[in-house]
Amino acid sequence: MPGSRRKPSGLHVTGAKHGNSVTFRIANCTTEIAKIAEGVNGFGVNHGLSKSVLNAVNLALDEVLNNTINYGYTDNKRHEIMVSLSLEPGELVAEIEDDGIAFDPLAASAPNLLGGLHERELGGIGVHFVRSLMDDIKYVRKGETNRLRLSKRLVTQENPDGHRRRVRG
Amino acid sequence: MDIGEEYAADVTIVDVKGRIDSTSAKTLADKLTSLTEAGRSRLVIDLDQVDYISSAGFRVLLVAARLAEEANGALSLCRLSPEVQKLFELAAFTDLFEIYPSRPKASIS
Repeated sequence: MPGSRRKPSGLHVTGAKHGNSVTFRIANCTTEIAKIAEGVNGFGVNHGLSKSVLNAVNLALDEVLNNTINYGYTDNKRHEIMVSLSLEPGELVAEIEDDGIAFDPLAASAPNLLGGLHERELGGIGVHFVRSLMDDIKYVRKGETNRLRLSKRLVTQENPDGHRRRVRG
Repeated sequence: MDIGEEYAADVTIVDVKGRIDSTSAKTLADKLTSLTEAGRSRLVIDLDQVDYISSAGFRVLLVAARLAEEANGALSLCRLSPEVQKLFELAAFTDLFEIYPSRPKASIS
C-alpha cells in the first residue's frame, strides 16, 4: 500500500570509509536510495571502476532497497538499512543488511514475461534484474536481520569478459 | 535524471538523461502523462544518455504506452545503449515497443 504509510523525515545518510570499503547507513525512506547511487558512483570514481559495473550494482541496489523499503516493514517506525561496498580481488561486493521481514530474492519465483502491451504483468522483474545482473548472490537470515551479498565481477583489460581468472597450482 | 522535449511534426521526442530508477520514475511518468493528456500522444523516448532503467522505469513505460495507445497514439523508443538494450531483453520488452536506432528529425522552427 504505497503512500499510506508515514515515512520518517529529516533523515541522513552516513558513510564510513576504510580504504577499499565504504559503509552507508540510510533510513527506510525511498528518497534515501538516490544517496546510495551517488555513493556507489563516488566509490567507483575513486577506484577507477567501469561505468557498466557501477550501473549494474546501482540498478541491483535500487531494486533491493526499493523492495525492502516498500514491502519489508509492517510498522511506521524508522528503521536503519546498512549498505556496504567493498572492492575485493576481481569483484565489487555490495552487502545490504536490514531488519525487515525475511525475504530471500533467490527463492522468489521467476517472473511471467509473456503477453503483449495490455496483458503484461510486471511483478518480479526487479528481482529478475538483480539475479541476472549480479554474478553471485548470497542471502542469510540471521535472527531478525536480512543479509544480502551481491557480487559483480570487474571487467579489466586483462579480463575483458569479467570471468574469474584461473589460478594454477 | 533530466528530461527535455523536441517536436518533429506531431511526434514529441522525449530526451531523457541519467538514471531512470525508483526515485526518478515518477517524474518521467508525470511528463509522459501530461504530454498524452495535452494531445501529444505520438511519443518517442530517446534513451541514448540513459544509464539504466529499473523495474519502476519499465512500469512507467508500459503504463505510458497503454495511455498513448488509448489516445490513438503510440510510445516508441530510440537509441538504446547496449546496456539498456540488455535490460529490455531481460524484461522481454523488446517486442512491446517500436525501437529505432536513430531519433526522428526534429522540426526546425
